[in-house]
Amino acid sequence: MIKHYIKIAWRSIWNAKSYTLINILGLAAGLASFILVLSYLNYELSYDTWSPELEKVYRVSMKQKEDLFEATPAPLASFLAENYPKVEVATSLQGAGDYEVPISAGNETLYHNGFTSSDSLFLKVFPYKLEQGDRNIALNNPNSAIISTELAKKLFGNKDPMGRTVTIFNMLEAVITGVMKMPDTPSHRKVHLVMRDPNESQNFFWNNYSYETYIKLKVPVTKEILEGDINRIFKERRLKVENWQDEDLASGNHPVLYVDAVPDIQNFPTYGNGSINTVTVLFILAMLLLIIGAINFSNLSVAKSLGKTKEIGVRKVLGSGNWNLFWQFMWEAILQCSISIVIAIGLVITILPYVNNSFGLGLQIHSNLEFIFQIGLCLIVVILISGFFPSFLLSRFKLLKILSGGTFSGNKGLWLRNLLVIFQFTVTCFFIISISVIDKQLNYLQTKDKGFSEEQLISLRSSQDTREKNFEKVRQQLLEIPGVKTVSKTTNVPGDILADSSTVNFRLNGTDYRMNSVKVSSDYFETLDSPIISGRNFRDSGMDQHTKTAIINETAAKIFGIQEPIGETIYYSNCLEKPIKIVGIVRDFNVLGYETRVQPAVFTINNEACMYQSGGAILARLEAEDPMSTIQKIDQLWKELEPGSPIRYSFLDENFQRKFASYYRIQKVIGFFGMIAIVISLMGLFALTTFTLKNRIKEIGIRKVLGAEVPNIVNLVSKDFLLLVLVAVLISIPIGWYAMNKWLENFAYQTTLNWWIFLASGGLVLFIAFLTVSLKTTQAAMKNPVKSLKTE
Amino acid sequence: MIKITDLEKYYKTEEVQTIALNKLSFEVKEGEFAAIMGPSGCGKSTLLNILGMLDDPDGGSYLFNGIEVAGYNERQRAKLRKHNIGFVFQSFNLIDELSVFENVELPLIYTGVKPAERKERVHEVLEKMQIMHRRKHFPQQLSGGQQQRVAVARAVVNNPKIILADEPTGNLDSSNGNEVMDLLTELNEAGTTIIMVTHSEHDAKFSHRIIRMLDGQKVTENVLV
Repeated sequence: MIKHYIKIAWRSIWNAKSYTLINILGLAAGLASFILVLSYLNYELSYDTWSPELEKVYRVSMKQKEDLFEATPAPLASFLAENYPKVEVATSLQGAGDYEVPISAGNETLYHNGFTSSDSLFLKVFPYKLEQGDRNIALNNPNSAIISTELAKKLFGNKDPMGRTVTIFNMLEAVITGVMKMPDTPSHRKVHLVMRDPNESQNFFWNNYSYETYIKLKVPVTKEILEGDINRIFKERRLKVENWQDEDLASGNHPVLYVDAVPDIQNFPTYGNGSINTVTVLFILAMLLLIIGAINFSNLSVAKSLGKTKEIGVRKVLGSGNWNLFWQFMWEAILQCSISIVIAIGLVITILPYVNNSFGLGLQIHSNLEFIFQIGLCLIVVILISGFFPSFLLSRFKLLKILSGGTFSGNKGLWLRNLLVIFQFTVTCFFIISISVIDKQLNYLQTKDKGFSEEQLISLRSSQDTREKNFEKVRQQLLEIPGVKTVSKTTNVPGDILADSSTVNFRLNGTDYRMNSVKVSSDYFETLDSPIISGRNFRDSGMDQHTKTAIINETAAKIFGIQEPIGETIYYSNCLEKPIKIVGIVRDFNVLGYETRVQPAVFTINNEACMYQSGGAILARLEAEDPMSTIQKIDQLWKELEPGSPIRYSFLDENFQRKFASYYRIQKVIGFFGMIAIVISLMGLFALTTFTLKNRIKEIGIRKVLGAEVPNIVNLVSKDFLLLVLVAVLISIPIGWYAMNKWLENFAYQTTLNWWIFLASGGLVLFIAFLTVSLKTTQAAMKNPVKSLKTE
Repeated sequence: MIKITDLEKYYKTEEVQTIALNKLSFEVKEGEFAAIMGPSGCGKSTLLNILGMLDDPDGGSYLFNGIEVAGYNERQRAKLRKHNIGFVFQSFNLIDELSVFENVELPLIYTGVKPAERKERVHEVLEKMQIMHRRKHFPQQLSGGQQQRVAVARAVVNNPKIILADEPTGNLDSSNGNEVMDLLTELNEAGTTIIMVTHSEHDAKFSHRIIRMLDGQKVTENVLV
């Protein structure tokens, strides 16, 4: 019987090639998008699942009121290991993460991410496998280091890395004592070189908040129990020892520890958003796409069934039960869906390298059981969505109705077919609204005034010496290069991917205000071309150079809330002996991007008020003419200034662009999904119109004989479909409005959601739907009615 | 074989009730060849649908082989139908997607006959109908007469006790029509009961008895043999 079903299904598919093509391609496009996003979702969910041991590993962080500190005090790890019996082992480490640091081997220097310094217990907590070296002793010696196979290959080629020396930051030397195999799945922290912490002996200061703490428990416990336990111990044995006031301890105004299980950090962190949110949204959108592909199938099958009534009737007369017919039509769905999935997998394999490249991902199509199971499940669901309704409907055609003239009109399933068309176009219109709003927002951000001029402005990464001790000399040398207009430095480079958003307390008139503290050089604002709107700029001499004056931005001025801030005295709250006079207000300019509002900032020169800040970069404004030749000259100079460290520069405008990278990716994906949604829906509408016309050909002939003209006929057929599309548009508008409002909440600066976006999107959908329907209808309406009536 | 007594069938719309069969009674014995005639709308097709168990009556009795089937539900009727009744239609009603062989094979598939036996029986009946050479062709590649032969082959392949033919020559020219009538006669002579609805006096003469109907009732009954 199954052989018979498959044979019939195959012939039915073959006999209606264009219909089949629409069905299969529509479904394949939906399936391909779905499989892609499914592998993206799998990829995200695979974070830190490379060893079951990681389920017992937690990162311990701190918060005090609203402030979160991932960096914890140096001795916290050993404190927890000693005081909390459930801890098997704990490690404290400092990691550069994505930040690239100079790593040298012999004469070779390269910048690489994943540098980590840790105590000797790193490998006891993180179960990295060593390809070479003994994991029990690899980090025992003070200058030992373990290296990833990937980095070892880059540094040493095919030579054995064991026992070789690497230099980090051009000053820390370490000997390779182990080679780590990179885990199979991604990890929340990049680790390529783990060096035994050179400053371990200083790690007993509780006020040294620069270490990350990880603990490994003997057995996993719930997050609530763990947090309860360690906070109780921390309060009793640490905070009370530190003489925290009882009222602070009672009111909760004290540091609190919180934990994240390592497998949850990437996607389900305790605070902040994991990247799973984006993936989940994409997954839902891809599912919608798949559903509209399947709906096409379902609708077209019902429409196609109009020509199958005779066959169904005959089969029933010859003894076929409803169940036989149901399976016959189901097999048609099974066959088509299976072809679709093969095409979809082919498509995915073809475009995967492009997706990986533009998303910076390492997605792979795994032939593992889990993935095959997921795809199989997806296939079954698609077959059910696309095949069940038509099969059910067709198998229940009333025999006598068919035999008494075959006038089955499909009215029975009409309401559901209409609902499905509405759903399809709701999704399509939603995509068009989303594309319009995302475009408008990104365009708005692109053109929004950043508060400074970003053209031809470069940031130069440098060693601390170049930036601090030798800065004045370096600055002069840079200025001597023709094409360099101004040079300055800052600890917080606008648009930098690692821009500093931390705040410290400043005191004004006895009240503390949290603000961003930025160390700059005198001509910073001149370099940025950011105007001083009140007071004066920094000068090269006098109090300005000794952290005795400050320039604040407009937001800071507003937060201080006094009429005339110029001349007021502020303090770092932990440094009341060093008064700082506000001498100017600079116009707000954007540092962090557009997701957060401009932070209140206090700009000072040098580190002479208790607080030491370094980092950031040197900024140089170049002449607009031939900046690349200027950069070549800077490169020449750099070889003298920092021999062995290749120059690393970036244009600030490009850095800002990079900040939007994730949004551009979303724009691309939504654009791609939207395009597929439109194509699928229109293909479906086109085929549906064709079948409807086939069914109404006699009616159209009679109407023409009675005097109807082409526009009357087009109007007659189009109106039913356009009404459905209009309903879809009306449904999609509030949904689109809500979803886009939610999305815009990501940004501190938002474009306005004008009514015309919705009107235009809806209008566009209606227009293309009308074009699709009228194209086919006009063709039918222009046919000679005699022919159609004769056929009947 | 078939005995109907006071058979009634109504068609109702919201406002009008039409009587299609009005207390109709007659009997058809096993091995008989009966023709039913009458003007359009007299209830011939309704009668044939009920006799073929495609529809159920609103009143009266229908004994099929001595079993009362008037109250049967769709499933019971379908079961009885596929084992006992063969249909021949005016418009042949062959399935376009299936070849001649597959069209004839279809009733055997639905009655669960094994593939090897199916092949044998289909070949046998195709030989008998002299269309074996066309077995791989599709309906649209055949002439009307050939199509109706296939339809008859399909009707008899399951060895039904009775064949119901609804104007079997209506779409054929006279020579093809005669061929089909000869076929039906041969089948009848071999023992199959046949009930045929027809407008053609010529065709009706092939039967043993003509039942004439008007407005859902039997008007006359002429025995020819």
